[in-house]
Amino acid sequence: MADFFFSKIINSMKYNKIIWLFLVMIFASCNGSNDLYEEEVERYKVGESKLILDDSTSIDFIKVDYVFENGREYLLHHNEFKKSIQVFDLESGEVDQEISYPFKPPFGIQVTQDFTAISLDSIFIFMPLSIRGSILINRKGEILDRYMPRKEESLEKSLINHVSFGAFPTLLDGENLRFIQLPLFEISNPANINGEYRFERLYNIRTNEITDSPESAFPTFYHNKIWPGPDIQMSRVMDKKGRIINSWKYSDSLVVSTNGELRSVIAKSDYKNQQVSPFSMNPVREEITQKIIEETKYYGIYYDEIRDLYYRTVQHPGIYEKNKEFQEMDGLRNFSIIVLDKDFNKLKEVAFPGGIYNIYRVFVGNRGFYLPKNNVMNAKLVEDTLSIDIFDFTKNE
Amino acid sequence: MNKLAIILFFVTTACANSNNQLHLYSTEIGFQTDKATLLINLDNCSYCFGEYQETVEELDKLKFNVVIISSQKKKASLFASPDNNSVFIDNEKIGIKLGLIESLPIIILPSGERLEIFSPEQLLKYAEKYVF
Repeated sequence: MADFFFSKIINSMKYNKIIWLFLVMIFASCNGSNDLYEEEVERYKVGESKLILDDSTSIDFIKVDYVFENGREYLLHHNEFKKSIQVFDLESGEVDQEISYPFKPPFGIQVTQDFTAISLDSIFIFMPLSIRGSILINRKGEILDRYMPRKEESLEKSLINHVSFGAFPTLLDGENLRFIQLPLFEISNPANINGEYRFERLYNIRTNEITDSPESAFPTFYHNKIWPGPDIQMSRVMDKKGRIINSWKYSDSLVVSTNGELRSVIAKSDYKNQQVSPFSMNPVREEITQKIIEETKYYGIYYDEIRDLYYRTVQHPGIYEKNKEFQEMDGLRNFSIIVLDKDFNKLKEVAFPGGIYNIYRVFVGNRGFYLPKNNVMNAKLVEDTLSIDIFDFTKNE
Repeated sequence: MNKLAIILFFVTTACANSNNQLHLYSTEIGFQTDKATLLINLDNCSYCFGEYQETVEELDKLKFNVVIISSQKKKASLFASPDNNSVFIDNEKIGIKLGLIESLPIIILPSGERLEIFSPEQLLKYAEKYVF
């Protein structure tokens, strides 16, 4: 009997040992993969900027633009509380100047969609849902120009649901302002997903005319299918040769437009193992959220004029949990950055851990690729300092 | 975190109607349910700050509670100063977790009825019609 119980005890100890060994292995492998991220990230990090935020400046930094002037790097930030454009010196982290823009009628803009800074003396500020009433100001906040394209007869035609921030900036291309717009039609109707809708509208500031960019239609594989609304956006960038490069969230290819001629170039992520499939029928809200979280997708395309490189950001699959808040699930997703050379050859893909950087707020500057750490899931986030890590993916080459 | 887990447990397992959720929420946040309550989610509605700030300032706080949902206390405080009497901040986003709000602002009347708000003008219109 004693032997029986003794052997039972020995067996249960062995069993417990196996469990503990298993748990240790899991723990070690999890920590091991985080170390891998950190190694790779550290390899390319070349600097850090810490912006000091006063009591009237929140850490969102949704509406920003980068300007390099007289040897100094600036990050311009639209402060909607103060109704001003704050000019942060990226080296000191302090506000170098604050540009108050007109926000009262008849010529002011009370609610802005976003702004585009060509220089500190040429800052376009855009109205939401329209181009009419958008203005150009200088560093003193003086209005240099106001844009009033012809008013359309129907409300529907007059609405331009342009984004103008993040990976969808409004660009100045010669005489044209190029706006990326989002559809206002019913996304759940697959017949609306066709080759007719144009995601980019051009406003000629000299002739006052608005036209569509012919190369900004849905790629064919999107046509006549049902997709999650937020995932049918197009990101776009312009390079120093004047080429327009369009990136679609679900497409492994980029569409490069050179003087109106289009070609596709592959810029596929190593982390994307399968093609995204559309919904077979109209989804409920939870299904849409689940698909948005779980699919690998390309968020944005960016151009580095100094290095003549393109960066394509890739969101890796997240973990969907019903009743969990979307931002929390989304913020924890790992991501990667595909680096392409001037001929769109893939040079590398660098992976980053989730929960630290905000993939939606990245930007390009003189020193390379800038990644703000205002991810909502960043446990080290403090509201009075915005930390930005700076990466040069050509470092050590 | 435990408190939140308990809240979520009640939400998912009990047959909580909207009135129960409102009372649960009011207990967590601290507002009285005998007034209309405006919920505004600054984190999931990027234009809400600029669009609604002035209008919210104009609301009669004797007749309206305002609950600002945001993980950023500073941003929420810039939108409207919390006084824990009629203006509150829901830093843990309990309102979202209870299913009371998604992205657009919501007015919840003392009866539990929910009114979705699409514009500041509509907010004022509803305030006139249902509250004042």
